[in-house]
Amino acid sequence: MALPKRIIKETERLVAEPVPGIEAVPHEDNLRYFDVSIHGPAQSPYEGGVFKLELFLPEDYPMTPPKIRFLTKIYHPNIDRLGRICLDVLKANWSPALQIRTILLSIQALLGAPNPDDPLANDVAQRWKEDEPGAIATAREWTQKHAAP
Amino acid sequence: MAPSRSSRTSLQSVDLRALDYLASPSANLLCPICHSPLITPVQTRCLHTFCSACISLSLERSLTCPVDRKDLSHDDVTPAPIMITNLVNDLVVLCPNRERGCGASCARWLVESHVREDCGYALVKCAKDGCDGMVERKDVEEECVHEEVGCQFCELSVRRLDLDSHHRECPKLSSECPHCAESFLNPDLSIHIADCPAEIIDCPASHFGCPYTSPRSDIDAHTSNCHFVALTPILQLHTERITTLELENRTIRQKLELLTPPRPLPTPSSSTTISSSSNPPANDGSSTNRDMTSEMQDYTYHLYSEYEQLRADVERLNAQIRELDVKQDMARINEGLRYNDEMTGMRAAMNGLRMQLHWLVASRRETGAGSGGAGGGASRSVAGGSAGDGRRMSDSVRQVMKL
Amino acid sequence: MSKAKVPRNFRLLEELEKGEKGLGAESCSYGLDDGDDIMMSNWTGTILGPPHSAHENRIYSVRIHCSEQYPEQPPSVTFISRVNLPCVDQTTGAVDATKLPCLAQWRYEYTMEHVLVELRRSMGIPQNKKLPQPPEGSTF
Repeated sequence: MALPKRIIKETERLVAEPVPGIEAVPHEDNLRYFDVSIHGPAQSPYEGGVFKLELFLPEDYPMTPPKIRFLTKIYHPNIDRLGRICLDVLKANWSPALQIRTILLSIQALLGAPNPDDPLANDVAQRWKEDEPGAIATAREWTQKHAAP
Repeated sequence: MAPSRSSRTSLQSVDLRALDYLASPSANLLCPICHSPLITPVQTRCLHTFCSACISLSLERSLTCPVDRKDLSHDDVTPAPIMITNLVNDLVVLCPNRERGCGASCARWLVESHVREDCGYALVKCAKDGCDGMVERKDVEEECVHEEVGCQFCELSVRRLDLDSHHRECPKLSSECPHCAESFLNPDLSIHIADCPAEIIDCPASHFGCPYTSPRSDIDAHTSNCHFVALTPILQLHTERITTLELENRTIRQKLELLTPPRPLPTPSSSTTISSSSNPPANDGSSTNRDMTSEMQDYTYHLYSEYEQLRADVERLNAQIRELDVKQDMARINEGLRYNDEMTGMRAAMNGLRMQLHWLVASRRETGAGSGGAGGGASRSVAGGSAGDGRRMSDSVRQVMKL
Repeated sequence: MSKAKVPRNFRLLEELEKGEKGLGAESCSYGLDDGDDIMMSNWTGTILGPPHSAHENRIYSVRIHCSEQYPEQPPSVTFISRVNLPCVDQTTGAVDATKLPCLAQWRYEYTMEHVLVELRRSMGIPQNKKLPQPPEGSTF
């Protein structure tokens, strides 16, 4: 089966009208596999960082959500040490009306609004709750160390 | 007697979702799931429209509306108003055999019958009895192209279909060089063409304007006294310089445009002066005319800046709304997934216990088995091993907790 | 391209999740060596020796390395625990890929679990199950 029209259309639109601060480029040898980079949102500890991610559209996309993970190390209560992201719309709350574009925007929003009550990286979330300024400082440090553009 | 062309139906299936449309259809007619113009449109109780196949697939996984997430069951899906169905069926599509050469386009509801019955480029069964091959409908009355025939020059046998392309590269055949008309065996031809002395080539400085062309064998004589060739290094340098200057010029112009303040510029009013001075009788009124124009322009710029301000306001509001949306989303995530998370935690803890039990049983067995002097060393390393394993286990348990 | 080809990293994440949730075979387990290794290259597996053999009640650890080319290329597997098997090099513990069918005829769909299960199976086949084994708990 050839690449579904929807994936072709989404890719074309991502290239033609990119979302500000977000880039997604498909691999030449696998058009379902994207290299993504997201700029840390302003006024967040991730500001100034450029975070690399990888995204894969499984066989039954858009009936199942895209698989996505951070490749750049990031200190965030909802992102674990392997870059896996805890975001409802990537799991139970996925809807086939969502798109790569909307998902990447949600991830960018998650960077701007960490959510320590719904943690994936337990120790980070714990610290975020007990010592938020300290945690934010670490997040900023990690951004400078690992996500410098 | 060969069956007539029209009586052969093509079994080629048409994937409606892969069709290309003559004009890009209105976004209102696209299915929110497959992003193609609706195919057999249906409507939900919450008044959203989808392709019938798309919403069925989606409902198999989640009984909610993909657009507003309201609860939805198969019974809440009914055919969409006939008008929508007609609108999408009337969209003009290009024939799916376009790449093979069919230039036809027709309304979407006709495209299947076009491929099945008319399209000369659709694949139909070969007319020869016992042949399972497929040919394009326009070629069906020709000889069967799937029969293997021997190449008359080399010992290979190829399908009649491929004979032409084979002849072009058959190693026993020679082809003529397009430049010197000499014949070469196919494998040697490409080597020869790359430096055929008879090929007419341009002077190496042709892009600087030298009009000279000659066979490759004579070009050296020309280049040794061609003025253009002699000047090439300098011309090259100049071209590069001009390119950098152009680039610089463009950036400077962009900067200038950014810096130019949005207020009346002298150019439009001076053009008014020119037009009025070219019209002597109106000369008296030219000064009032100019005042009026500049006043009008002032007013326009005032309006323009106000408009800009309003637009900026709207953008700011938009951003605020988006931000609120995100915050709301996050709150929802909390609510919805907390339970989920607790469950995962519990499952992980159970898994951890299971593993620990497993290891305990295993190590008890080991200590039971180990005995005497030989057991000393073994049990020590076992203990070391299981301590290491224990660390790893708790690690993996910790990882599970994070799920 | 008939089916969507799962890229290496997402494939390894799938395997990791399967291992973490304990959904795999009962007798084998595996996990990441370093939970911070974003490339997920080095793994440790354990094999519970098959019953009715010299391996009964023994637990073997193996190191598994997944290269950049995994799963196009098979992983390389090395025993940490000493074991006497025809496919295992007796000085280094490395598994000879040519002597283990699933490594020799590696396919894209195969996983690390496949390899562990097959190693365990080779411990239990008639010609191997009575092989004299080094003392339990010794390592290469």
